[in-house]
Amino acid sequence: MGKGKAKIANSIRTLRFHAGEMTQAELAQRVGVTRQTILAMEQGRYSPSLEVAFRIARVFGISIEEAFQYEGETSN
Amino acid sequence: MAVVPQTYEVIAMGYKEWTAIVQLLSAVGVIVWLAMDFAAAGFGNTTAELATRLLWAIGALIAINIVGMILANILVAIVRQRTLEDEPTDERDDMIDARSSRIGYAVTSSLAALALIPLAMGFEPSLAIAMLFVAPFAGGVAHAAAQLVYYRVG
Repeated sequence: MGKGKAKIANSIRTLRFHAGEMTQAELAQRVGVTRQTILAMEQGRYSPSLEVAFRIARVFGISIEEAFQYEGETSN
Repeated sequence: MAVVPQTYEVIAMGYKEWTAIVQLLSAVGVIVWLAMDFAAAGFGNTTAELATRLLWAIGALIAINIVGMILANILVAIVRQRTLEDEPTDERDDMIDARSSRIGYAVTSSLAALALIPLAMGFEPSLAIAMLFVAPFAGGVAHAAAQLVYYRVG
């Protein structure tokens, strides 16, 4: 493990847009997290667990790589 | 104009963030009140007198917390036109709580250990008692502050 912080980007905002402007609340309810957590993910303040990432990808019917992108490590 | 989104951002906070803010403000308030009281009147002549004041502080903390959450609910209901309702916890809440608890525990245990120093140096036990009482309060402040940082910054 390096000293930097792993940075995982996501396309959740875009995916919600293309899913008929699905609300954060609806996505949160379908994934089983809070709306605040969806908001934090969209703003890049939180990287979800693998399980939640898979659940989000499943909601949109895509692979996990299409929803989340690993951007390497950023130094703190 | 930048004030509007910032204000919205504050109002849009979740129930747990509001709880952390209320806990933080009430604990800081009680600690400041105790510090001013101790500075003005000392620790008291007897241990019973000191314990009575500390018990009042606990009561005040509980009351301020309850009133604070009611006020936060009213404020949010006025601005958002809906009540502030607690959401079920998820993995992020659990992780933030675990990290914040670790910080709060470290502060509490450090201050509690420091409370032994005046006892070892032969000071009156009232100072150590006051420090032992303040330790969990300070731990609570650290816990709530850490929660806010983790919720807002990530």
